[in-house]
Amino acid sequence: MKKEKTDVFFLMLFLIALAHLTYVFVMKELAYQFSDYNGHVYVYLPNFLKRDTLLDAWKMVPYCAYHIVTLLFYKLALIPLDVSAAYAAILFAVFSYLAFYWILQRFSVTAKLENGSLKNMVLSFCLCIVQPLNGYWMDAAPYSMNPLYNPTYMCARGFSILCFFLVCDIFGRQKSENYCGYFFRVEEGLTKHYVLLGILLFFSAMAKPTYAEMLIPAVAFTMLVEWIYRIARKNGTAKPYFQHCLYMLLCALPTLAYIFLQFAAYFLFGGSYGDGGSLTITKFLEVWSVYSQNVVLALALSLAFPLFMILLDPASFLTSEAGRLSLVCLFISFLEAAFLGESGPKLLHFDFIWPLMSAMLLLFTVSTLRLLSLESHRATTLSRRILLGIAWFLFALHALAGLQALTSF
Amino acid sequence: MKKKWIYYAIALLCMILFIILPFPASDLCLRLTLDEEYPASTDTFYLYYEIDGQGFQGNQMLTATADAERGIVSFCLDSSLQGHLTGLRIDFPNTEQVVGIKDVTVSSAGVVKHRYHPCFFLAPENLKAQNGISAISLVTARAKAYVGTTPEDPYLILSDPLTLQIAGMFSHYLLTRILICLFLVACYASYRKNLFGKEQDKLLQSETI
Repeated sequence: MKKEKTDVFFLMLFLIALAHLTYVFVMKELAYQFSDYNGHVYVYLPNFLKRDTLLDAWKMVPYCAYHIVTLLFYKLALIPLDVSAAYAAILFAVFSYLAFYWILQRFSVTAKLENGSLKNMVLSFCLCIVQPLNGYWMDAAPYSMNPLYNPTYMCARGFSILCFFLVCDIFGRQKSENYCGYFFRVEEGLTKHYVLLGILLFFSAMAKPTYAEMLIPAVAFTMLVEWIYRIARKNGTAKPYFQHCLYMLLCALPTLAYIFLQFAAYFLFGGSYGDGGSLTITKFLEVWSVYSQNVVLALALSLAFPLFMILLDPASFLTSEAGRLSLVCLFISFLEAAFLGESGPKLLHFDFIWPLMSAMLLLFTVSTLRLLSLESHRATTLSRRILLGIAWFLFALHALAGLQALTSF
Repeated sequence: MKKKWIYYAIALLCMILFIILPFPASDLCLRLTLDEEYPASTDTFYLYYEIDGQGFQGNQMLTATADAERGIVSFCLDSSLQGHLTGLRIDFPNTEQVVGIKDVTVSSAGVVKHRYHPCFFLAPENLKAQNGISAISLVTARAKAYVGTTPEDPYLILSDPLTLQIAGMFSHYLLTRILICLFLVACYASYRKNLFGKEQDKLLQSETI
């Protein structure tokens, strides 16, 4: 009981720190005219306040979870708009932190790791703020797995983490009746977890659809490959597995419907800065190369820690559900960023980089879990401990970059 | 065993081809970092470039203003200029002032290729011509160069050897390609060597038989 009270105490400390940093960051961003926060709060959000502009507001920003929460603070609690925006951001930041913490705690218990809850609290805080390694003298322009400046992405983050690891556990259970989930109690049956997945995915699409735009194709691709593999094996497992594929599709249907509705609002109903514009296929890295002189370097700076973990333990990333799915997510999202765009003036907004940012965060989290398990179970020689120390060093550099980004005002 | 070596040979050949085959060049960025004591953050700088010895022309020009936070004036030359760049002219704002330069870098493909000491960059032997410049002071001890400009179209033309040196820094991503191949080889070697031992307790794996 005493340990639990201490845990709650330290958890509150981290939450207070995160809330304070988020509050100050958001208030600073709101003051800058061209920031995402300023646009969402002062340009989009007021349209939600009036009944006659409500539909137009939704067409402009159909992923309105952040806006709705801000409005709740503004209209129900009568808090000033800028403070409401900050409180909404804090709410979602706290949710993300708790999602990370819960994942780490569950993994620590089920994988019998040696790290305690305080370490998981620190790691959760770090995962909430990690940023790419970068220097102003480089033209690589790496994209972040935690774009602090964008309220809707940060809103979707907590849902994205929970969705991903739920899918991993569902995959495990689909493949073996003996599988007991690392994070969710899938041994009790999958029905309620399918429902939970459908709900979490839908909420993530309401916050920002780009995560689902990455995860749904990635899961579909993974399951399709698995199904074809089972057909080729001719062991009679293909047909039951196909049923699982259909159940996963059912989970995704509400989200897919809402995403298509969002696309229709954007491209057909005159949303998003007015008429015109459509989905377009670009030349390879056409948009990305406008911002980055070296896309490979940009990816290396964003993913230094996960790439090092892949280098240390490639087998894990190829054979484990989480590792494999995170790599597929990265691959699918890279293709989206490399080949997709919005025609017209929004081409250079580079809106198809968002799925890749989500994928980077997933890979980062999976790499962190892998590092924890290697540290607990495999650090038996000096050379292994040195290699793991280097991995922690890289992780710390990302966290340092995050702290600098969050406190640079 | 024999098949394995054939696969290795094919992979090695693919990597060698990937590294040695021609690759499009990256843009080249010339950056001047201005001294904070002499800010010129609202003024416009110009970089005229000469192509194939045809002289400086009005449409072959880039503009830049100093970045407010760091005082950096950046010019990015398109990769299509590689092999054709024969002259560079830096035009300062048309005002009477002293512009302090504390760093000059040339970068391509996202990394700095060369950093010039400002006193070397603006040394007389590295300047072909100048106009509207009242004085150039090279303070080696402080690693800074000060350019006194007048309102009469102040510019400096870099010498041919310096221009040639800068023009030769367009990157073809050679190091990037080498590092990609090295990373893949290292991952494969790590996979074969199994650095962290055989998986016993199915960490992050499903318990599929």
